[in-house]
Amino acid sequence: MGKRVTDPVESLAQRVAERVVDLVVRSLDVNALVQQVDLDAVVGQVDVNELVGRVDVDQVVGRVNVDRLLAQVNVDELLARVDIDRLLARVDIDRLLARVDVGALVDRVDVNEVARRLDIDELVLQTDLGAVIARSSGGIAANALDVARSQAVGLDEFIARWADRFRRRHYSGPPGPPELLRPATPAAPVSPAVAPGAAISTAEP
Amino acid sequence: MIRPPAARLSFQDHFAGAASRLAAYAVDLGVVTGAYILAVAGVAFVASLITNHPVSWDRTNIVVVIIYLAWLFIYFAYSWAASGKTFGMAVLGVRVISADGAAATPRQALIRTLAFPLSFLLLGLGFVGIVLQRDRRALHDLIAGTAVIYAWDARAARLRFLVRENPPARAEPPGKPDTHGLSPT
Repeated sequence: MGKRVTDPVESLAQRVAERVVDLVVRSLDVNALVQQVDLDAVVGQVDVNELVGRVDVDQVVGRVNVDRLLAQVNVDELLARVDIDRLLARVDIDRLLARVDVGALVDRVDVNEVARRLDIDELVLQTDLGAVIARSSGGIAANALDVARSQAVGLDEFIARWADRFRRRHYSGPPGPPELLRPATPAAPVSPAVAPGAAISTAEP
Repeated sequence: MIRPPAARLSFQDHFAGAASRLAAYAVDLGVVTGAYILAVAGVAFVASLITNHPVSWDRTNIVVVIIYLAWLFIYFAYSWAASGKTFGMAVLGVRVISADGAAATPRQALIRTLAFPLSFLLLGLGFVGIVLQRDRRALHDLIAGTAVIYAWDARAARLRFLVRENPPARAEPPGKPDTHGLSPT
């Protein structure tokens, strides 16, 4: 019997409460209410550190799709807004260079390869290096020696090519003691076309 | 005009060929014989002054021949032992070394000098190895454990040639067709 009485009452009370809340909300001027609230005081009571401490940053970051984020970034536009000069002006070059291990850097450079790529002929023509060489290497006597040696080497190559042809061997330049030939100097594949004396008339008839 | 090698690579430290070695030997023979003839003539002149009699040296005189051979031996042995090259070899830019690439020892130089006539005495067959062997070693090289290599830098010769033909003060202006002065003249 008690339950038959309480259920309708409870239902009635709920309907009354909903109606009252509805009327209160409708009559409430939220803007006026917010204006009366001292937000600074409210924020001042919030312990931000504690709030942040309760946030699992790793989890938040883990949910960020970085690729998608970057795809939305216009890098060109971003870089266009960067003042490179101002950026470089803030760089302490001396300090930067002090951190560079020059020895390790040089170790990684193949000096022999660099030297091979140098156009020495052009270098001599364009600089005073040639004058230095000319002054230090004598005159007519040195020239005569160069010519005599070049002729002799050319004749050597001519004889060697014919000797190898006679023996049905392919001639690929004079060999040398392995102990003397540096790794950067290929002994076998030296082409007669670029060898000393090659400019001399050593071509086979 | 003969041009020096248009090479970036040099044959320096590679085995020297027959023509260079023969030319070096010819130069040496000329130097040695010329010096000997001058010395003999000088001695004969001094002797004639002292004795008041004309003194002449006949090339068939056994003493003259023996002294000449001794002079040849000293010239070659000392040159090879001291620097690995004679005057003629220095002119042609070749050098005697040990077969393993090290400098020739005085002992090797001595053996090489003593074995050198053998290459002649076998009707010149001792020299065939220079042409036919890959390491270009003659009989006396095989006996002494030596080899002959090029010792001159073709690259330096190339630079000298370029400087002669194109003095830096009159270098071509940039953009002009590059002839490098290598056209035969």
